[in-house]
Amino acid sequence: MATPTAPSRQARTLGQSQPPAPGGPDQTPDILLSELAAGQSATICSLAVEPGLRHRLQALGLHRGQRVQLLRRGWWAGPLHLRVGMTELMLRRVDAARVGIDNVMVTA
Amino acid sequence: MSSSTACRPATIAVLGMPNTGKSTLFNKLTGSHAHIGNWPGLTVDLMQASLELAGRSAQLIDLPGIYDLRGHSDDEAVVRRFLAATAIDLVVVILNASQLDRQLRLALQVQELGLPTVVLLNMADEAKRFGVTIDLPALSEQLGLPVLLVSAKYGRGLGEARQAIRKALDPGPLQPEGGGAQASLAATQAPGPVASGAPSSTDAAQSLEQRLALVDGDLPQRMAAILAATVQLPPQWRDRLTRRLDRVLLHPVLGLPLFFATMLLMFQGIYAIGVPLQGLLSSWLSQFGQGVLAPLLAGWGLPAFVQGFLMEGLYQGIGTVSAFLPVIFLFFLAMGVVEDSGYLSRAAYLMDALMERLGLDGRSFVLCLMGFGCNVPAILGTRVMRSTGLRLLTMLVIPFSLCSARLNVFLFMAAAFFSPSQGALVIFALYLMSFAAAIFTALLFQGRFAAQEALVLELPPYRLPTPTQILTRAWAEVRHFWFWARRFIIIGVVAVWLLNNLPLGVPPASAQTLSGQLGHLLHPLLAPTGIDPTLTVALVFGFIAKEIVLGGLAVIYGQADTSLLGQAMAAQVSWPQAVSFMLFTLLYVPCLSTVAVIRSESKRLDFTLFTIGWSLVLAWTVSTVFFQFSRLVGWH
Repeated sequence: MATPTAPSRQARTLGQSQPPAPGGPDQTPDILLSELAAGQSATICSLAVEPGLRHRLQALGLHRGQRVQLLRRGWWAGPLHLRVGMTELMLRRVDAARVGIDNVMVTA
Repeated sequence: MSSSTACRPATIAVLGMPNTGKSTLFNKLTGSHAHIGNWPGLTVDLMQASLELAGRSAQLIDLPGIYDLRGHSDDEAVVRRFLAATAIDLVVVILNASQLDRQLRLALQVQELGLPTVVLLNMADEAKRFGVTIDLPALSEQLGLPVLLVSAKYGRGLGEARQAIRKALDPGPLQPEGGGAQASLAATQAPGPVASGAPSSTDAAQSLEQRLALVDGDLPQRMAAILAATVQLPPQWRDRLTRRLDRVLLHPVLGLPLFFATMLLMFQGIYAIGVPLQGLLSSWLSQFGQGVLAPLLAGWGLPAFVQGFLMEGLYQGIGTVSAFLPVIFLFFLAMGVVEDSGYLSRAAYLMDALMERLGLDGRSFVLCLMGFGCNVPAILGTRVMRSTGLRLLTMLVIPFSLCSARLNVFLFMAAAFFSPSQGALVIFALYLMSFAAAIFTALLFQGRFAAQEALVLELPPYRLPTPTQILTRAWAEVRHFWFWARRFIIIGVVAVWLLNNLPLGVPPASAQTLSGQLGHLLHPLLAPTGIDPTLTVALVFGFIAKEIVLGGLAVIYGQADTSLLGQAMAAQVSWPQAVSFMLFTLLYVPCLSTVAVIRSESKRLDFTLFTIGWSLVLAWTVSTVFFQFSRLVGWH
């Protein structure tokens, strides 16, 4: 279940489903990772980030088709605490706003 | 000719992601006799150690932890350059077994290099605990590389790992003699010879990058296919301990107060144990000097000047500083527990919201905390940052972290001028001042170092560090501190003693000595701060290293026993003067090593000079404000 099912060839990620403009919400039907509530999980469907960050996110397991779970949101608009596969990480809200998600579900 | 390959030690590069226990494994494999190696074309020091493998000797090189061979950080560029420019016989890739679902990527990238490779899956214990099962033979077959499970922490699988490395170095008798086993990217990529220097290494690094870019497109599919066939993840997250602890420790309201309470408790513990130890050691050293060494020297009939130099200069200066080594050991012990347990990463999470508003991020906060041990590694740690602005601002702020060398001075002075309970408060206030100076500096200059850098950090599961792990580490840190500091201390105390006793014939430490003259020369500048000419000399030497300040004071006042030295000082200096001196010591340039490392890491002289200038201005202003205020209120 945790294995990526969607074709995640990164060369196509940007061009196909997601315009590279960061002002995502207006142009795409996606919900953003930054909007996820604690206890919810979702599937990553787009990554509108610069190549350097894309490499880092992929190395930490954040790629298209991957399920993520939001564990908690930090105080004072602080970072998000995420679980991706077997890894837990923190991601700032600004950066999470560049990640599109779908299939939002409530997990225990 | 045929024996040349067998005699030459093999070069083995150790590669892995951060948080995989790579350094622990490196130390376990090599017995931790690592030293800093010098590599052409790299500005970074790499740890290297030799390893004897059944008749073949090898040099293991510990490369910086990286996420991605194609990544854009400085560390990642260093690894690429190293791989491109060095003739490597074998790559050992270390992955976290429990996170193979994402870390396999690095192994696949390394595989593309076409070098002989051994994959070690570390933290086998955690993988088992979290319910990750790996089909080793299948994974090994899919990758076409030997793959082994190890646990560096508990010392499991190390013998097998050594055997696998030995075997991979020498694939068999069919191997043609005369250098056939040695592969080098530089040789296969660039036409020139391997060791042709820096320019070709950048070319090779570029072609390496191009080669990796070519295969990068297929990588996710390949990785998914291999994972599906060989790795089974648990249907549910099993680490209940981490989940429960995080519920409390990362609590939106309680999280931060709990963290600072832990820190406070930790420092209290260090003082409660360390300070009496330091007192004991100090008086023992002093008695040994007076009772054994001094009569011995007198018995040899050495001239008084030489006797004074050896006893009051060298012995007292070095003795006073070494008495503080237990405190430093305890400090690194406690810091090691906080870091290895995973709590330090949580501190980055908790503090990031505040740091973001100061133009910094959670990592800057963690580096400042590390700076409480020593500023130098903390500044080296800024390499993980890609944005220049963020890096410079962090480098500007780190030197205000009250390092262990400054702590020596403060512990001693707090004991000399205040009652024990007041003294603890003074030390606590100095820590607050250290934070305040950092925050104020960041606020003031964040506009000049505007930085926009995304922040993604791993929050590892909570781990219980083993006693051996923590003790070994603290011991290594203290040893490193001592080797690093001792030449400064020896040169420093010798210089202070000479300045205090030359020219010959004048009363020691009087106004006619060189140090007296120096003090008077600088006195007008420091008069508003209340720092007297004698203490001014100590400050001048403190510019070189804070370890010298205390040794210098011992030499200036001619007392090695810290309690006697304290009495001698208190007779000449008022407590507001002492506090002003401490504030100045806290805020101005920590030491020459820090300046040197800021220069080499920022690669900018103007920025380096700016950090020096700003810290001096801030130190002078704060000390002056405090001292003049104390006069106004009539504390004198």
